[in-house]
Amino acid sequence: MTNVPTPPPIPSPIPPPPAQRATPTTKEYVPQPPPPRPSAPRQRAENEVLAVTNLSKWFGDVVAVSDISFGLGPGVTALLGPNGAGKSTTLRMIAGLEAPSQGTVEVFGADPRKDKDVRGRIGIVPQQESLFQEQRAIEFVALAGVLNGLMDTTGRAREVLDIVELDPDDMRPISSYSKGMRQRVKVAQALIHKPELLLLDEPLTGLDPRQRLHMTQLIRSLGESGVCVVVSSHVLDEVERLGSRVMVIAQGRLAAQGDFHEIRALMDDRPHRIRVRSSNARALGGVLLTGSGIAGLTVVDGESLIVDTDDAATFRASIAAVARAANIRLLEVQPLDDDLESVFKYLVGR
Amino acid sequence: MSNASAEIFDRGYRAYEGPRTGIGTAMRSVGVSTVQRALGLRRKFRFKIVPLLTVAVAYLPAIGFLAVAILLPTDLAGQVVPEYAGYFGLINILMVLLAAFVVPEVMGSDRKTGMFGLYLASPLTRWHYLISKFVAIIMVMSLVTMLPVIFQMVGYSFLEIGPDGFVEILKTLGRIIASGFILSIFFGLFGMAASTFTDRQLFASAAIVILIVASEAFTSTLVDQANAPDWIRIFGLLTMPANLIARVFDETGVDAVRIDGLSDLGSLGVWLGFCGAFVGLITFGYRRLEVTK
Repeated sequence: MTNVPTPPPIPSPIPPPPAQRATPTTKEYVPQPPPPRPSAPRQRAENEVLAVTNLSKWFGDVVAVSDISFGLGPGVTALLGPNGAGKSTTLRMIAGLEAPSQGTVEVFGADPRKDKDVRGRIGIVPQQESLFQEQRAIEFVALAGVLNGLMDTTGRAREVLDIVELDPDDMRPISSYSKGMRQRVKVAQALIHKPELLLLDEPLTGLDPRQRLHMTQLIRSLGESGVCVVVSSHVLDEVERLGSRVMVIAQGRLAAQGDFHEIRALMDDRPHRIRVRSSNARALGGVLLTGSGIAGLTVVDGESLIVDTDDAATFRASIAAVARAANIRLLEVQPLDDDLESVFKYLVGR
Repeated sequence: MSNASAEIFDRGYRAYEGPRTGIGTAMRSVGVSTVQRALGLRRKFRFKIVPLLTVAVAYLPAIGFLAVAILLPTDLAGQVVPEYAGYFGLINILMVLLAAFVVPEVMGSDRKTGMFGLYLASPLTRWHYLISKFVAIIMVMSLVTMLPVIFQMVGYSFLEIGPDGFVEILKTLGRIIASGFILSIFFGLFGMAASTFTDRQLFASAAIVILIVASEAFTSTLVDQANAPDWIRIFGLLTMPANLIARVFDETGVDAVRIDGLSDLGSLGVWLGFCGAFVGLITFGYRRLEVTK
């Protein structure tokens, strides 16, 4: 597989449903239960690969996934959420491994539980080991090819093992592999039949930093090539490198989806925190407090102060002029909670 | 405008749109993996002990009978060495070992390791998967239920104490194969049904052994001690298939395991009923099975 220039990933055509947008709270942001869904069906885009509608799953009294709806086109989407949020259950339902208790999953317009041809277009990397430990990597990956009806399974298995940087001629059984190597075997078996929808449940687990970088690049290139890739991960800084499109699941509900910068911008109930370094932090702080839009201000030391503002865009646009007018030299303006980790933390209420 | 000198060697990532081999190949692959696992092939030695010992023990009587037949004069040998139905009595016991120790291994391990989820993520459905497993289990069990007896029959024929003539050979072969399937299908489905409800091999094995022993003890006590009607023995999990095999071979001697008050057709019906119940349990269990790995 080569990284031939391809059209950029197509952003999801599905806007976040109003029900999932941020809701004002007093202190911590806690996702609120969505209001009753409108009866009108969700608008679907032309290139939609995956459509999830009012999906719920419960195990006895435990609700794992509660009434989530979204649609995805080609490109990489990160599925984020704390442990037990329902990410893996959602992925398994998308793959057709589990029946939804309520709602529907459609992949290429068909139910993956009923349409075996559609399942042949899905690749999945499960979180658990799921390996024949006594087999060699090439045998195991070739087996996945056979299960998906490929003809030249061994040749293709060699290709995908090369892609994940494993030796196809390695004679050792998988049981002797390190965790990172086993993880790469799982990714290889998911890629062997060139899926159009790739579901990766914690694919970066167990990989060393170099392998993480390689895997991240691989996932990105697949997304850029038009594959719809859904990645669940806890490693937020790695997810950030995959792209900015995220879906955050908290307590089984879809808390937010879309570009995480845009999600952050939508959280108008939570002031943006910005660190400002200048030649005179105390004087600058005094000037800023005379203006509007400042929710809070902390002077850290002679140079640094931290500003909480409700209108980050206006603040960033005006801070230079304010500093110049006060004859203060501005050294640095750095947003502190505009990263994925902060967005995630606000959304899951921790 | 076309350019004859231009060539594209790699268009980048393209979804696979080539021919697919279909479900049959995938099912065969599941079957091969199952047979390998059942026989402990490509695994540590301890995994080979039960299946290979069972297969070996199944052939020992045949070898012994043939040795006796070779040493004795033909007339005497024909009276001394046992017939085929008697051989199935021993095989019946060996099937308990296979059902209790091999079937749970091949059924539970896929769920325990998460391979079951990977299978279902492919175009295989859980019913395709179960059929592949069933066929593979029957094939492994046939190593014990059919081949030793066929080996015995071939040996007897060479020593001129076997079936007389081509037609008789075919009839005997048919009976052996039918009896082999009776045992393989019965114990295969029984083992699969017991393994459906737990991933723990030990629990499934214990359940199988306890059910067989308890069913035999209970029915024998009722019939022999409490003067219950003989048909109660259809609930003995060893007696019931043995009864059908005795009827396949038309055995009526003192040693024949025949349940009184039951016709040949009734015996077949009971066997089908048991197998149907096992299939029902397997279907029920796998329909409800949540893939959590």
